[in-house]
Amino acid sequence: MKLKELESHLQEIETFTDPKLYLEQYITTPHLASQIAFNIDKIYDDIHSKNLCEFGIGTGMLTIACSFFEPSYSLGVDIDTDALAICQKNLDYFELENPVDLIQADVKQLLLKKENYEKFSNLFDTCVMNPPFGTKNQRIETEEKQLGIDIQFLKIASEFCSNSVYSLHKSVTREYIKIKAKQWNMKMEVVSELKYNIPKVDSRNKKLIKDAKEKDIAVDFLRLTHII
Amino acid sequence: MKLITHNMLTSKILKNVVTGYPLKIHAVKAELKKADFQPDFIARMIKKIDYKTLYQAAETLGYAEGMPKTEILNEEDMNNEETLKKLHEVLLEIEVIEGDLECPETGRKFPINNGIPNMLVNEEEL
Repeated sequence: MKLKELESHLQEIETFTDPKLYLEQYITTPHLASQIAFNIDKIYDDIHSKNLCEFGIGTGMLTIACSFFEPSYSLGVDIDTDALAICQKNLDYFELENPVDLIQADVKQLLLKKENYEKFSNLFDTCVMNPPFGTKNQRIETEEKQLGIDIQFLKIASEFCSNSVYSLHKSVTREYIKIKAKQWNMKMEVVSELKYNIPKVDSRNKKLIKDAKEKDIAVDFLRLTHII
Repeated sequence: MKLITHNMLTSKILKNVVTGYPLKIHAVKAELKKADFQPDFIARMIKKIDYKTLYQAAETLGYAEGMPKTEILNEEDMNNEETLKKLHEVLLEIEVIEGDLECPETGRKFPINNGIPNMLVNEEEL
């Protein structure tokens, strides 16, 4: 599978019709998703014949991109009914030969008790995700004190996967994530630095400002691996 | 929802629930969806899953015939191609499309719509 070819397949994916800002449902573009999946496969060989999971799967862009590299089994988790409905439609459309399952669950709720998900832990090899950047306030109290939503996603991914977690984060959080990774006995590396388009939002009514120039933010494509 | 996924789901998040496992399946609609057979994958997974739960789930859905009737699989089962094929079907090809999952302790039901189990709970249930 060539990179360009993958990107053009991914153009067929239906995205959010009405993205929910409080869930930070930003669109992962086919361009970004194809590069991410391509690099994970070519540089690290972390997709083929592996068990994959994605938290905040949204409309399925990353999981479908990864499916072209034949994982054994993929699980997508999302809190939002509308996103999952579109995602299921996309999965059906692509007629993927690798099995993909979806569940509706809240990462914040999963994190409350470890026993909620211990049966899942270590069944998965790799997580590929684009979690909320944590620009909206979605903090919770966990055993590990307050964690921003971006770190909650990383935490659950690190506990699900025995091998690697690939995730997109605002570059300004890099040093903080490095510290967190160390606490979790993981090694963090920056695979690449990207620019991400965030639509502009009116701070008074929280609505998207139409035709406003989109804001580019600096984002890190990170790889976290467990230190054995 | 495939049975590999069901094998991992619990209702332990609910207040006062001790094990919350396995969740009982009530299927209104289920179907078979072909997937590529990967013998190595099945052999690897079968060591990680709860076989008793898988067997019960397959039995509920009427697909247990051909599965070794045991609580834990032995080496011989894991090396038998026919058995692995059957387990492949049960783990990855059976899809519950509509129905629900029931907590064995509280009876709380988690709906499955369009193949997606909804495991969300309200604040008061936590």
